[in-house]
Amino acid sequence: MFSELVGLIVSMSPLLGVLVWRGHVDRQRQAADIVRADVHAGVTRALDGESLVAIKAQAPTVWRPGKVRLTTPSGYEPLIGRAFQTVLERVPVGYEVVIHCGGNS
Amino acid sequence: MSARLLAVITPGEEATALASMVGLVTIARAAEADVRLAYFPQLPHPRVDRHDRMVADTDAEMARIERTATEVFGSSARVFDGVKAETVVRFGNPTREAGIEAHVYAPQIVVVFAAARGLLARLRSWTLRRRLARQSDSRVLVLAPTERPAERRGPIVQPGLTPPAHLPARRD
Repeated sequence: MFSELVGLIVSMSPLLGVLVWRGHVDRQRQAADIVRADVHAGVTRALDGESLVAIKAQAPTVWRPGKVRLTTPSGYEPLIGRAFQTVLERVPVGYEVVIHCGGNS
Repeated sequence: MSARLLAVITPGEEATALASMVGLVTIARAAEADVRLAYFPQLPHPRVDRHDRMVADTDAEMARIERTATEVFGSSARVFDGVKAETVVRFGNPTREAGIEAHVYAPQIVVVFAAARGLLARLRSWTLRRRLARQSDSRVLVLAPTERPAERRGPIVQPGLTPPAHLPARRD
């Protein structure tokens, strides 16, 4: 009886591990989506409407922090400047703010 | 008293820093901050000729690198009006020296440049960002060049809309 129970637990543990891991990843992604929505709302309010600032949020993982990426077309960098303080206020601890500008833009 | 912004430039990120100067100045203007461009090269070796005779010792090389970096970064920042910028060059381990500079300058914003490079350089950059984020009370921003969009291989032509070969080309 005991050995059967141990065998059941051992055989089910990889499946349970994957389920727990996927649940954790889904929660992290949901948190990143909420961060993205919050930043987007703040940027929209700061710029008085929809703008050319693209916002993308990546969930944190074990080996790297989360990232909030802001991108504008070339020549529209002042938009980021106008919304910059709002973004910093709304990005939580554990997330980096990455601003894409210059270079190939 | 205006805010302080520290821009950390490590070896291999010089071009990215120059290309991202617009973004850096935009942030500095928005935060009404004074900018300190800090460049952290490794300690240079003495320069020798092909007969191993010393042409320039370490001090001379350090002076040359410092002068060049000050000219290049300072002139690129001076192009933009309304931003007070200064350049600082510190030799040694970039991660350690950047930590010291952040401790001394006590900036409100730290800007780190990210260039798409090898795995080791990314690991080094990650270590630097983690150290700066842990050590100082300032917010760490990453300035990265915009990724180049995938190049189109050719014009998109729908087969049904292509005119037959015997018809002359239409000229609008």
